[in-house]
Formats: sequence, structure tokens, C-alpha cells
Amino acid sequence: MINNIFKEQDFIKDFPALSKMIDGTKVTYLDNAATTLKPVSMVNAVNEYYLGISTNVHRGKSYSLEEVSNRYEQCRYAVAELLSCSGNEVVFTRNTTEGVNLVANGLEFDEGDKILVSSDSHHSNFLPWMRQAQLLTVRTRNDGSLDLDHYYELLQLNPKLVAINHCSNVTGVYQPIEPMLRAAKEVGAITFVDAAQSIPHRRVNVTQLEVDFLTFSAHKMLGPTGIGILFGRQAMLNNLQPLNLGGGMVNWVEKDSYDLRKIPHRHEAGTPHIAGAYGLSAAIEYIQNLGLEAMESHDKSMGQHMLDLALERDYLRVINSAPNLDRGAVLSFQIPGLSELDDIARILSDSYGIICRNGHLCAQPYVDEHSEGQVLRISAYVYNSEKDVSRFFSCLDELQGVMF
Amino acid sequence: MNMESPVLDKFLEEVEYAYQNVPFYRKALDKLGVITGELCQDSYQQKLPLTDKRDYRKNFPIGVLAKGFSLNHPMLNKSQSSGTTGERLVTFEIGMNLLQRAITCTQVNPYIQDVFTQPNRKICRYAAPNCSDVECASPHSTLQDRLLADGTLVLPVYHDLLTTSPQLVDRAIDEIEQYKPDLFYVDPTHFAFLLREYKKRGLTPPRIPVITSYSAATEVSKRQILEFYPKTHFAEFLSSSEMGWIAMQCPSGRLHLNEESFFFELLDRNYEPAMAGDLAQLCISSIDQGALPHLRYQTGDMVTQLHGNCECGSKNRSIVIEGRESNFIQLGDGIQHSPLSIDRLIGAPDWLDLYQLEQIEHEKFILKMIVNKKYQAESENAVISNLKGLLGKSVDIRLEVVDYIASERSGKFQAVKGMKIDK
Repeated sequence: MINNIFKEQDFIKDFPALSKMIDGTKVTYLDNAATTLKPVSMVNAVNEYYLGISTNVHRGKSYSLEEVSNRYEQCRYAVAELLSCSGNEVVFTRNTTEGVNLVANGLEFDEGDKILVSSDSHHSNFLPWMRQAQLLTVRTRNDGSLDLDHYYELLQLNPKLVAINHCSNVTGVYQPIEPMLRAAKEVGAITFVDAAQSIPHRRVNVTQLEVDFLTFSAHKMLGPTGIGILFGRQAMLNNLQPLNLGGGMVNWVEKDSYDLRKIPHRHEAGTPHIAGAYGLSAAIEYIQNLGLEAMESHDKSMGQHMLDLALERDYLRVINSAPNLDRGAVLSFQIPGLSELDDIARILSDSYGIICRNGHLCAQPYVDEHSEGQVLRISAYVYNSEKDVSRFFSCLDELQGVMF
Repeated sequence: MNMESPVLDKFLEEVEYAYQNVPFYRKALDKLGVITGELCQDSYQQKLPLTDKRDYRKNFPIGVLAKGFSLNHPMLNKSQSSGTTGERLVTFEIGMNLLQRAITCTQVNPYIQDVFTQPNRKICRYAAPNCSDVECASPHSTLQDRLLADGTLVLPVYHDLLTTSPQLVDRAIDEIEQYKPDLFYVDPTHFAFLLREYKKRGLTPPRIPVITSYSAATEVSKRQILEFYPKTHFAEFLSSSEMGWIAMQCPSGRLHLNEESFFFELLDRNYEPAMAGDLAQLCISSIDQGALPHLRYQTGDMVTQLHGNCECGSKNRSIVIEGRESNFIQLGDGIQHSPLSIDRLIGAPDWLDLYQLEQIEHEKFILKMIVNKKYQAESENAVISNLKGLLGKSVDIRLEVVDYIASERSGKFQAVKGMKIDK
């Protein structure tokens, strides 16, 4: 038995990485907010493409090309079912970052336009907007939580676009996006959600949300790297200027003009990550088999367990430890007096086999505001148990005596 | 099997014709040592091989085209299918043979036949486009681009039906208005979708006969079609890219085989002739000595022959289409249920517009439903109860009320999808 929620699942068999050793110590992988481990079924699906007749998609008439194109498009349908949207509202991207950039560069912003962002955003959901328009940044409170009163105040300044961070990659705290999006729509804003940290854990039904765009990556949900998703409402995708121009996204080309294909293909110039689509389909199938409701329970219980253990230790200071928040399985903390945590992260890895993350977590403005320097982050996924988290804190306790 | 001798004679003549003129059949029959002149009612089933789509795809065109024909022969019509099972096929046949097959097929339904055979009649087709979905329904295509030589206007629609944009629906409706067809030749799921769009716009489609093919008409599709059309205006029929028109519904509601144009065999799982009432695979042989003769061709369609004579007076056998074998529900105890039997259980509640039941594991299903304004919480309880009555009380049926269900990659819509079995 690996954990209490997925009792029947043989994760050890499904994830060969869980059996890996570092100098004879079995690895405890707690860096899932960066990227998850990969199941055999996903890797097999990727291999199926590369070891088969690995044709391109939608270019030509060969039998193999049609088969490959079918599998590629079936992945789009699987994503559409996951999000409860239509197939043509799903654009394949490289990752979440590209999804944000596609929208930031594809919309027209005029001088004086404002974009509302959260100060706890990942750089990916911050920098692309910074280049396009004046930012209105929702501040955080001293405890690290987002000041939602400030969010609603800023909406009164009529931002053209509101970019919400569904779940923080630093704190694991989920924002109440339903009322936030509704309020943004009430002031006529285009709504955008960075769901990189939420889609891997929870069911997000875009038809029930007033969201125009939403983006996430496959590699944070058991899929391969190099493929991500941008969901966009049909009208929005139709109005968006394609980020890239080239093959596969036009109906007709003259010497001095061209005509774009219908959505979503107009936003997918060039040969896409075909093997990635095979892999993403397998990853979604794995997740569906586990059950998104069970995954959400796991996410919540692991998040609470992390917080409980962290709060028992006075040598740590958790970033956003506010009670009663909707919290997932991500937790970051600083160690007062230590601004650099490279050595601790290295020792946790090399001596204890624990893989976690240290640094500013691609959310530097937020981390700088709430920490004296670097933070250490642990993040769990379906194959992790409370035992993994407990082990992490026990190891940290051991180090405390000699390092801080 | 009790067979009319003229049909058998025509079949045996077709065998001889295929042997003399088609390299694939000559090679296959020589390999088996079949002497065509010695074949008779008692021996052909043991001696003649069954064929299927792969034979035609692999041997196309040189192996399966009859002597004297080339692909640019002026009398030939090309038919291209992405295939119900996703396996594509290109096929050619003499245009007049196809037309004759269609005319004989409509004999059981005089009302449809009258319209179909009138000079200069115009048809509008609304079904899955047979091309890659990034090429089909290009915004560039005009009405003229989609007008076929036989007076059929192929209406624009996206490959993934439910993603068809409102603009493209408007265009289809406008083109119908402009073209003024005499007959709708449609996929029932596609047509039900179009009718819902008519309704949303407060419009009414033209009151002309509707014949549905390409995929089986579910009860909910039929209900939506019959909201706009009287029963006399609506008939289901069975057709295929390879054969053309195979069977048509008579005014009494029975689907009659086109035995004037084909030699049919209904075979059980052991490839023996099936009895009326038994599940059988439909195998078809051409009998009109065309460009691509087909002998004992396995369609993959599972059917059941109905007992007794039809009150319409036709002597042709009548069948019900149970569905593709690959879409049958497979229970753990080896019991199978056809898509038709599932559809009958789901029925046509007035709150339901479209559904898809997909089997994930032996005892695990997902039922997706697109509902309309008449839906109320727990409306689906009777449907679930019916399904559990057939599939077993312990089966897990996950219910999802959705706005979108993807079409198959063939462009068709599959309402009942059995478990994928690794072969």
C-alpha cells in the first residue's frame, strides 16, 4: 500500500522512477510542482509513435499519416473531455509559458490598457503581460495570502485582461476563481487562468467558469515535456492573432497574402509534438482511471499534512500558513537565518535521496516579499504518501542540529 | 438458406466474371483450387473465400479492377470513405450500376422512389466530410465546389460535428434555402444537430423527404427528425462506399435488403447461415458485373433477420441493424449487447438531445448526455435503471451531462462504444 487514497494502485510498477536509488538510498520524489514522474503507459505511448511509422500529421495522404493524425486529434478530444469544452477550443502548445505568450502576443493592447495580475504569479503568468500593458498587481498580505479585497478594488480600474493564478506554485493555495472570474467579466475584462498547478490535481470544468483562456502543461500531470494546452473560447481563438506563422496553419497562400485555417489549427504552425500528444492521451487516461475526485482528496490531505508537520517546527517559517485556505500538496518555507538553501537541497538529495526544490521558484517578486531569501519547496503527487512527507521533515530535523 | 434461383444464378455468374476478369479473385480461387463452373448452392460456401476491406485496399487498383477498366474510365464513379471503423477505402464503380442499385433499393418505398427517380431532382447531403479535418469545410469552399454531378449538394460541416461554427451552420441553412432540394440524404445524428440549429434560429427546414444513412439512427435522433417531419417523409437506409444502396425502410418500417441488386448472406459466428432472429454478419456479393466485383464481402455490420412477411408486400428479407461488431458491449461473462439493444433501452426521452455510452472496463461505463431545457435533475434515473437492468446491477455507470461529445475520427458519431479489445 502506497497511500490511503489509492490503495489499489501499484505505483511502484507503474512508475519505474520510484524504485531508483541514489547511492543505495531509495528516492523520495517531492518536486512534483516542477514536473511529475512518468508512468510506463505514457512512455509506451510516446514510443509507439517513435517506433512506429512516425509520419507527420495532416500533411499528405498516406495511410500511416492518417493513423497518426487520428491519434493526434484523439488527444485533443481527450483534453476537451477533461475540461468539458469543445475539441476546437483546445490548442496544442509547447507548455504553459507558450500558452500565456500566445494570448499576450495575440491580443491587441492599446496604450493605456491595463492587465490585472497576482503578485504571487509564476513568471510565466507575469512577464508576458508586463511587456504588453500597464500591470495592476494584486498585493498579498503579510502572511503571504492574496488580498482579494484588493483584487476587487483593482477591477474597478477596468483592466482589459485579468490573469489569475489558479493555484500558487509556491504555496499550493487555490484561489476562488469562480467568483473572481465572474467579477472580472462584470467589468468587461478578458479572463485568463494559469492552471499549471491545478489541472493536474482537480477537475476544472471550463463551461462552468467565466474563463476565456486557460493554460497548462502536460509534464506536470504525468505527461511528456514539450506539450501543453491552451484552452480558448471559440470566439476568442478566432480573434487571436497566431503567434507563429508557417506550415499547417493556412488554407491558401498567395505571393502577397494568406488565409488562416479554422481554429484550433491556425494556432499550431509547424510540425507539432506528435509523440507528446500520444503521451498526453495516455497520461489523461491514467488520471481518469485514478479518478479526479480521489486525486483532489489526495491533494488536499497531503497539503494539510505538509502544513501540520511544518507548523510543528519552530525553525521553519511557512510562506502563507493562513488557516482555512483551499490548499493543495505544495508547501514552501524559509529557514530564518539562511538565505541560501542550495547546500540543504543538495544534502537532502545526496544523503537522503529526497528530491525537492529550492530557490525563488520562478516567482521572485512574491518570494522576495515574503522570505529573507531562498525557500525550500516540497510538492506531492498521486504516488506520494504521508510517509514521504514525514520522512522529509525527519531528515530536515536531523540536519537542523548541524546546519541551522 | 432458401434462395431464389435467379439470384443464385446471377451470383454464380458474378463469380465466373470475377474469376475471368479480376486478378485478385483469379489468384485467390486458383490458390484454393476452386473450379468456378462446378460451384452450386451446396458448395459455394465451403469453397469460396470471404473477403473484406483489407483485400480491396491492399489490391487496389490493379488487383481488384476488372479487365477493360482504368481509373480514368469515363463511366466510373469514385467513392472515398474514411470508414466507419476508421479504416479508409477508395473504391470505383460504374455510375449506372450504382444508380441502378439505388433505384432497385427504393422499390420498397414508393414515396422515396418517386422523388429519387424524378428527372433533375436535387439532393442535399449533410454528413461527415470524407477528408482530413484541417482540409474539409474550408471557408473557401463554395456551393459550386460541393455540387456533385448527380445533382447532390454536399453541405458544409466540420469533421468534429459539434464544433461546427454557427457561421457554418448559417451557411448550410442558407444553401438549403438557395438550392431548394427535393430530398435530404443525411446522417441522422448530423441532421438532428442541424434541426436543433434550425429550432434555435426559429426557422423551419423544407418539408421534403429525408433518408438517413451513414450511421444508425438512434431513437433520440429519430425523435428530433420526427418533430419536423411526418413518418411518411422519413426512411432509414443502409449504404456503403463500396456497394452503394444496400437496404431501405418500407412504409411499414421494415428495412428490406436490396435483393434485386445484391446477393446477401447472413452468417453466424461460425460463418454458417444464420436463422431469422439470430445475430448475423451481413456479407454482400455484387451481381451486376461492374468495375469492382465484390464476392462474399464482409461488411462488419451485425444484423438480425426479422421473422415473417412484411405487410408492405415486399418479398425481400428485412433486417434490423444491430451495429458494428467492434462497438458491441462485452460483459465479463462473455455476454454481448449490441448498440441497438442499448439504444432501445435509452429510448427517446424528450429532455435528451444526444448521448454516448462508452464502455471503459467490463463493468465500468461512462454515459455522456447532452440535454435540453426539458431536463430536470434525476431525469436520467429511468435510463440508468434500464441500463442496469440489462448490464447488471453492479455495473458502474458514470453519468456526465456535457455540452460536447467528440465525433469519431471517421467524422461519424458513435452513440454506443464497446470496450476496446487489444488484438
